[in-house]
Amino acid sequence: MSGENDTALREFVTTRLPQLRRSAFLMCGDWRMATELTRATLARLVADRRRDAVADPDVYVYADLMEACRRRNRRREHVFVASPGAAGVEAESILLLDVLHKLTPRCRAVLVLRYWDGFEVDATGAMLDLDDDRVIAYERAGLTALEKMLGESEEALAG
Amino acid sequence: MSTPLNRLLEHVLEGEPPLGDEVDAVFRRADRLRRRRGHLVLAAGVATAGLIVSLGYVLTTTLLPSPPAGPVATAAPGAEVVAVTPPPTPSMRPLPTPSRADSVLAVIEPLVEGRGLTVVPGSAERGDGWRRYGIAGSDGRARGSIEVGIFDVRKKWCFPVAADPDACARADSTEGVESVRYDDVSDPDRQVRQTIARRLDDNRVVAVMASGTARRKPALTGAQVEQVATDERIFDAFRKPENCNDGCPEFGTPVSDRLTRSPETD
Repeated sequence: MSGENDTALREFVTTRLPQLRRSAFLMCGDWRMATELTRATLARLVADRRRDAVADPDVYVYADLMEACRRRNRRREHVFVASPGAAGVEAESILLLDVLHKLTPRCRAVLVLRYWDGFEVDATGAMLDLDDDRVIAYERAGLTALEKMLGESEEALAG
Repeated sequence: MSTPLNRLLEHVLEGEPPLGDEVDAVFRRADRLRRRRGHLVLAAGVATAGLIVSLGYVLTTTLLPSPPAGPVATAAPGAEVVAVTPPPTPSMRPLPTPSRADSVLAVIEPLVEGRGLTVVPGSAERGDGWRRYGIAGSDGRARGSIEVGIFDVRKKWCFPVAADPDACARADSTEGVESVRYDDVSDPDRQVRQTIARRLDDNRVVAVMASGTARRKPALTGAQVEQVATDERIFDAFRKPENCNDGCPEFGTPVSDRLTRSPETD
């Protein structure tokens, strides 16, 4: 996107914003915070892109967003915050978010990037500053833990 | 997991709030960010410049030698005059305690100022057993210099006679100090008024010389030069081991090479 004008930047922001906000929500469990973090990340992208300081916008925004979520999550005690005026959220969704947030932030970020955003192992590694083996290891450990905790939670709900 | 994870995650996202004007908000925030960064860069530049200036000042004041302190003309009455730091003259050897008060200047300065002249600030030079002060008139023009030296002499040393190197001069004696005046104003280009004095209980001799320059009279009269030379504070201003040596001024009538002779009338 080198040399592109604000129109191309606006188009990039418009297309990526919804998906980025959902990824942020999966990471932090709070729509308001997800919106704020996404806006801040994209604003930094726009500012840096205007001075040609960004090589790959996708890597830039996801790396920045995941780091921002990781930092913000350190201070959080609650897990899930619904958006104001939203309809009731299913118990399974809350359960999944709860289980997802019991994973380490980096493990959660690998699962979100790989299974929600659909990035390949190398792209995920580039966004999280991990080599491929570490991404695969996080992914395997995350899936195993997720499956185990979901099974236990479902049993508890059924019981 | 029987259901793929991405399908499970889709359900979690139900109840997603609308985006609204989020894209515009992103660009407004980007503009604010750019302005803030500009201010930060400016502030960092100003801070860096300030730091460099401060650092330069600190280094300059700590590493470079301080300029010579001129005579303290504004000192309160009775206050001790601050010592004059010697400028870097190659032939000069610094005193062990250069910062102590300059008692020689304390004697000379009132007499100089009484004649409407000034000791030029920063002109003072000093070495082992000698002091030199530049004098200027009220118009700022040079009026020669005043030089003071102290010499360690043998007990039977006698006062020289300017016209006869083998003779001894008869000295005037006042309150334990004997002295001889050697004024020579015959040469308009080098008018000299000098007194050599010896304290009776001391093996040291003081020579004080006021010399004019460029057809201008010396800064002190012959009587004033004698007054300075016989002032005990001048003897006390020099420490015992001091002896007019390296860089010693060239007095009109030399002192140090006198031999023991019988006194005669000058």
